[in-house]
Amino acid sequence: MIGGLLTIVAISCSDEVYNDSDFVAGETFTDSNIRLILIDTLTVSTSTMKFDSLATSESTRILTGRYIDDVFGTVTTSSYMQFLPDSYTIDSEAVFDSLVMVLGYDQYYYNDTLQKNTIHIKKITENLRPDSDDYFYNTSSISYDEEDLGFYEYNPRPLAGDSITIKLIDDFGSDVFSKLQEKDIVNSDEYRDYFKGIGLLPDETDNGSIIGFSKSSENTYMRLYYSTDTEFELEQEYIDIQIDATTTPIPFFNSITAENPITPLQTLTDSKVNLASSESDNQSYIHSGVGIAMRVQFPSITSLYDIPGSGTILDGTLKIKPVAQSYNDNLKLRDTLAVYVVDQNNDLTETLTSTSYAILNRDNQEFNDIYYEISLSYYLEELYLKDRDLDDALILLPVDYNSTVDRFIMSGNGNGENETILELTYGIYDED
Amino acid sequence: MKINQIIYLTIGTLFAIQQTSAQSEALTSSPYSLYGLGVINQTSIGKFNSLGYSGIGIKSPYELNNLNPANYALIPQNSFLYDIGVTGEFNNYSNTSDTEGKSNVNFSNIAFGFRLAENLGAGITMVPYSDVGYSLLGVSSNIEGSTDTFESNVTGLGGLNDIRLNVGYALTPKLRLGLSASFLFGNIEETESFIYNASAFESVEKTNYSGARLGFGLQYDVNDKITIGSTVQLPTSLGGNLKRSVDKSLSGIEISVEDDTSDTVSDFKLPLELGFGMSIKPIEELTFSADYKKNFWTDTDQSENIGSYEDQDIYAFGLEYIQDPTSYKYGQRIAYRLGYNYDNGYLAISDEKVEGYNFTAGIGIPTSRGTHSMINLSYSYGSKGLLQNVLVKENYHLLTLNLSLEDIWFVKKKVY
Repeated sequence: MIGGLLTIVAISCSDEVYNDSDFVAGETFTDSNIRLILIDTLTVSTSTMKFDSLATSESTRILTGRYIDDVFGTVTTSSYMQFLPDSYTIDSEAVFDSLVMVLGYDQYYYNDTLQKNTIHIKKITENLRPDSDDYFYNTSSISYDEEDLGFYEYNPRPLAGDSITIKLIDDFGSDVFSKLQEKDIVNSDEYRDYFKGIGLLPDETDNGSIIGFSKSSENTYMRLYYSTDTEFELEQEYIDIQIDATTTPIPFFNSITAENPITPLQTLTDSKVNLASSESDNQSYIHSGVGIAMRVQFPSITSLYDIPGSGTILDGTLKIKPVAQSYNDNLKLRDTLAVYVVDQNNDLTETLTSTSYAILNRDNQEFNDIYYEISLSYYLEELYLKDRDLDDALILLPVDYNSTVDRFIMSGNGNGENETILELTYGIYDED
Repeated sequence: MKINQIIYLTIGTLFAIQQTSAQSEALTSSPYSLYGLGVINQTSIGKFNSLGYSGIGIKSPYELNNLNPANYALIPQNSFLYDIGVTGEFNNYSNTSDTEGKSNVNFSNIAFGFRLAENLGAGITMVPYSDVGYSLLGVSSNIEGSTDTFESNVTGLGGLNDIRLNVGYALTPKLRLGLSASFLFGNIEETESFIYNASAFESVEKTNYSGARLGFGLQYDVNDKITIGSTVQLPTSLGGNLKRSVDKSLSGIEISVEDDTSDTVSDFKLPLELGFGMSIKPIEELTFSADYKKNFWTDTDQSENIGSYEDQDIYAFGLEYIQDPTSYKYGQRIAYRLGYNYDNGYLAISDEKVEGYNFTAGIGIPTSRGTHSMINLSYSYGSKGLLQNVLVKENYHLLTLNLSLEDIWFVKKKVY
């Protein structure tokens, strides 16, 4: 008898949904046992740092152009690369026509494309090989002949246009032609020896835009035209000479420099220097390509331990406002910025794993209230629990910082209502 | 035979204890069980469930009376009484805009009693003392320092059990005294969870309570027809210890904040409880019973985050009709019972006391002529709370089945 009853009881126990309810009791029937507090007064220490150099061998595009920025100075980009022909045989009867350079737009541009740009094509005179390690940097340089192989003045149409074509001087073209035709050059080594590469440089008087050109052999190449006299007509043929993508280290780099920036930025002579926002108009700076990054540190996160009771971090968002009027249609804001972690020496240690991006929130753009948001809860948790060095800092740079020249001016701390703030949500689950 | 029965019962009791502790996970499912130790269990054992839970003054030699230990003095010689109960509950909650139904089946009690010596009887009962089973969704709270709110879900499970030793001694044929010693134990687990932005949070707090409580009872037969009784339950406090686990996830990364950390929790105080009851038999077939109990909760000086404890008055009335318990006719031995119970509540939420009432009805079906064993079936309809903006009104139907059995020991069966 008892056994039977207990079976009934056991069955009733196995009913899993006993506590499943959609019933919402009266609003004040109970309070949560957990208090959530939004804290936006934690110190955020903002500054600017500059990497000594950025490796640009692996830039995804050719950058060339020059413009004068009020804040960052004269921004000049020039690109250096090696070429190899796709064939080393030319019929002995053939006659040289011309050598042209085709540069295909890759849709990247920065600053004012209504201004004229100039491209000087220079012949490199030393081996296009990095000095020390496997990379060229934005600060690298290489020597070239002063004399132009080609020269072109144009109105950039990076979005609507397809490519630009620049005729190279015939002296050079016919020399390449005859070296190949006479079998003076029959392989890539001999070709590289003979022709070390070219540089694409803006004119020193340009003040227009930085234009990105494609590195792919379909869009950017040199084309050597020649004709063969057959019985009936003159037949034109060509050989394509393409960017050498097979050699390592990659014989390619973009030189990206910014000269004569505002005085505070001139103090950034070493990557260990932190230019506090308070010493630069309460602003922090980001300059892609050049390696200037905004740096953010949370020195007083452990003051959360002063809050009575047991609690834990539940959310954290950093809000950074671009300085009004520092951006416009030419000097555009990008929707995302990458967030990296550096140590106290400003050595890059990692990308912020959980939330790698600062996202531009334009919800209130009409009120001039736009800001970058970074979700930081896990990073803050690590700092709070001292799983991470309190000297660690976050830096903000565009995702493709080795292939762009985008620049940003952000409100740092101390910049009134626009200052960078950390909104941290802290939950107290036990009051005593 | 006898030894076998003792073994059976012991095993059965042990099983039942295990069962209840597993059990106490699922009981009431009343939103009011959020407070204190949960909803304090009203159901008694045996026929008293259908008498409006009255019985302090009822003289019942053949049925265990958990309401007054003095009654154990009446257990007849050679009788072994035991009682096993199950309840089935259907609840219906409503607030001003919503209604929800819920049902569950549970163990309600196990009890036994026997005579120790001349004029001295004893027994052990085990009943749930309180039940916790609630689930509150969308509890909205402000985030301090902002205009935002967050919504959490709060659920509670568990309950306390009461194992009670009752001893009754008949000082004179008319006056009986009783002593009870309770051991109260159990645990309550409260879970709160919410999702806020990309973070999730869950805290589980499991509190174990235990404590002992003494009580006294008295029954006096004024005459053949009238019996009066009185009980006292001494105040006590239940010690609690809490284990807390807190987990969260930040941007999808699971983090254990606390894992089974012990924390202190204030003792829960149970009040002084006084009870008075009487029963009258105006005619032989009819028993009328009335109880009044006062529980001095105010003196415990306890409060919840939005409720407080206040003195409670309970009035209980019962009526039982049996044509002739010794009749040869089966139909005449069936007992018919009615009862009413009003309780003005021990909990005040926003100064509004959560009062409740029950109507009970039941029958007792005898199983055989040789013993006084009965199958008691009881139905109770109750209501609790008010339909005002804060409170939840709860209507419930409670069906209780008690097997109130008597075994005759130490008497050789005659073989015919």
